[in-house]
Amino acid sequence: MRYKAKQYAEAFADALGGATPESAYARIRAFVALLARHRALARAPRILPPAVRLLAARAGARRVSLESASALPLTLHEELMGIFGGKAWLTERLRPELLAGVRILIDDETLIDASGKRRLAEIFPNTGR
Amino acid sequence: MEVASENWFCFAPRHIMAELLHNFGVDVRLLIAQVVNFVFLFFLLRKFAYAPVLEMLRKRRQEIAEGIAMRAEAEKTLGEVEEIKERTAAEAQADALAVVGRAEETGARRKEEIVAEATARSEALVAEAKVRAEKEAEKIQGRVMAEAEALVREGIARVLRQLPQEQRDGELIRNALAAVRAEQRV
Repeated sequence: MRYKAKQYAEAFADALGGATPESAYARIRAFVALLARHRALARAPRILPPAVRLLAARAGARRVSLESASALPLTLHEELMGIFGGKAWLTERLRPELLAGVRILIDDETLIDASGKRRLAEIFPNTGR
Repeated sequence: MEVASENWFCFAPRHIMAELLHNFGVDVRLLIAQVVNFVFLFFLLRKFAYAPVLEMLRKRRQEIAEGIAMRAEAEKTLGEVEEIKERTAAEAQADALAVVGRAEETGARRKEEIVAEATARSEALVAEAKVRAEKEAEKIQGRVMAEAEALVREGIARVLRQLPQEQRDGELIRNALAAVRAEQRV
């Protein structure tokens, strides 16, 4: 790897900064090819999250990560976008072990855990599973 | 009548004397010779027989006296030795009694120490066993509780999975949105 992960992340954020949805795909492919040439694909997990954070920060958007046991209703996405004034970068991930409800992580800093697993842990504090 | 002036029979007539001596069978010359012989033999024996014998007797007497004195000395020494022996025996007996007394005292003290130590050890063992039993009971109780809670959790999870999404997630999502709004206001 020729550069540090932070430098790759900044370059990727710069490349996607002014891209349209049509050109973004081509830029992503070019960036992946660059990482392959530099033999840095293994470092992608350390490059992409900082790049996303940079993009969101430059756009003035909040990064909101949603985790739930099953697919969430679209109304929740709309309500969240409304809360953040339309400037939110929503990502969703399924985690069946949460049983019910949702976990919301905002900007990797604030965690709102309204999952069934958390409620069960509160009811049975001695048997966390 | 002739009187001899030198001896007792000088008043007797010489012939009567001569006749008397003759009747008794005494020969004057032989008598004088015997007297001379006797005196000579007396001095000879005194010089060569009596003196050595007397000297030997004196030495013998001295030796006997020395022997008696040595015996007395030996008896005295023996008495002293006996006295020393008795005194030493008495002292040894006293020392032995003292040693035995000290040994008995030490033994009694050691016995008390051993008994106290054994008592403390047994009490510690009992206490340790009690603590172990309590811990074991707590462990078993905790395990039973954990298994019971796991069963309840599993049951709740199954029930939750079977509920419709709105009924299952609705309140939780509303709570989460309320929390997000509160955080956004801050």
